Amino acid sequence: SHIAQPGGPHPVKTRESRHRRRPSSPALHRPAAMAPAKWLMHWHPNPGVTLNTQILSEACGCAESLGGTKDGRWKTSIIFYRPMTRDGAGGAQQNLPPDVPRELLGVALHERPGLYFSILRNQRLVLQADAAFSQVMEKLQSFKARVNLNFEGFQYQLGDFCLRIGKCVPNNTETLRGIMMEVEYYPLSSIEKSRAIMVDFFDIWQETLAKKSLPGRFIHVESNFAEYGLSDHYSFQHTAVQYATCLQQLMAAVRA
Amino acid sequence: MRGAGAEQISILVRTIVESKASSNVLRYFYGIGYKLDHEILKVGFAFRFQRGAQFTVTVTSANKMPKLHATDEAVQVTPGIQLVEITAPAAANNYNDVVSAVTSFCEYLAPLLHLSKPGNSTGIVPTAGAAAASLMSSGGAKTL
Repeated sequence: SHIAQPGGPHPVKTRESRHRRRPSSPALHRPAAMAPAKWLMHWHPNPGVTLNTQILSEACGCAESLGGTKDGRWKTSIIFYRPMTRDGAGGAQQNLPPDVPRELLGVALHERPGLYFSILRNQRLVLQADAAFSQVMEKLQSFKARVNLNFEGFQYQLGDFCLRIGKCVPNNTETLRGIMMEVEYYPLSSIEKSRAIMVDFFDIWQETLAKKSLPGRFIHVESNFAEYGLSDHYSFQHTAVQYATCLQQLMAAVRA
Repeated sequence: MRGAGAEQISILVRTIVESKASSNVLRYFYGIGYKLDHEILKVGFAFRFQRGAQFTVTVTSANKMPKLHATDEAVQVTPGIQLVEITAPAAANNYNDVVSAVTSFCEYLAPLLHLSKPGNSTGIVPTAGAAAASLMSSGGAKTL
């Protein structure tokens, strides 16, 4: 079987008949601090093209054609909070004192439902807390949840990789706001050491997807982990930060 | 307990939300606009045990500091008087059980405590020594 060695590019054998059965959340078997390296990619449509779910089905079809086995659904949520103003409505934002951020993000990751992450983008701060922390925020009443976005879809096991392909939809609606995917590489937690293999995988993925002639492409945008005080050792906090980055990209693409 | 108003003290019921957080949590709160209001140093002991409910008993003195974080220069707010707090978490399904457990534990502890007003310490109850000795030495009848 193909085991990645650190350093140097390696061929990615995605077509071999090795079907390693994995439990649906192998990350749970690792020590809590160690998460496998992960890349988030978002779908960037060609100018003037609107999003549609056909791209999602084609991407899922590609995962299967590469030998991926579907093994369940996943859902990660991002909540936008805006400051409560004195009038209580959370309305007029222009009268805020300068040290109050215009928004903060709450992130609930599918792989750790007991945890809650909060991101202050303007200060490059990611907080990790228990899921109960969202109740703390609610009781404090200084910020109010305004928009709840779900990233959800199917996940596929593909050798040493796990792919999660999903759509971004506001809670309780079907309005498609974006399409994105997670690529996780189980054997490595070092971001630098896993970079080469992620690039190789991405190349194969792009090649396979290109055959469908879809009006756009997946893009991986690097998050500046160092600015958030995060190390080379991948963690759930890294994923929370990547979701914030991904969201920014999706919103920019929608506005364009 | 003895002292003015002792029989009228009722159990306070409050909603509590607890969460662990990463070590940057203080920076986070400053980041969302909170500002330091005041600082108190609490010194004392905490005991945790199960007795019909999950109890936490703390005996603490509150201390003020002349400068921020100057723990060496802390001064007691109520010299000679400590705050004894007895708490137990309750949910809807065990509320009544927790209430009776807390009530009975408070009655158990009552001979040792004497209410004091700040600035007017009543000192240690004369019977406290004997009550403590009796509680600690009781064979198997009143073990915690």
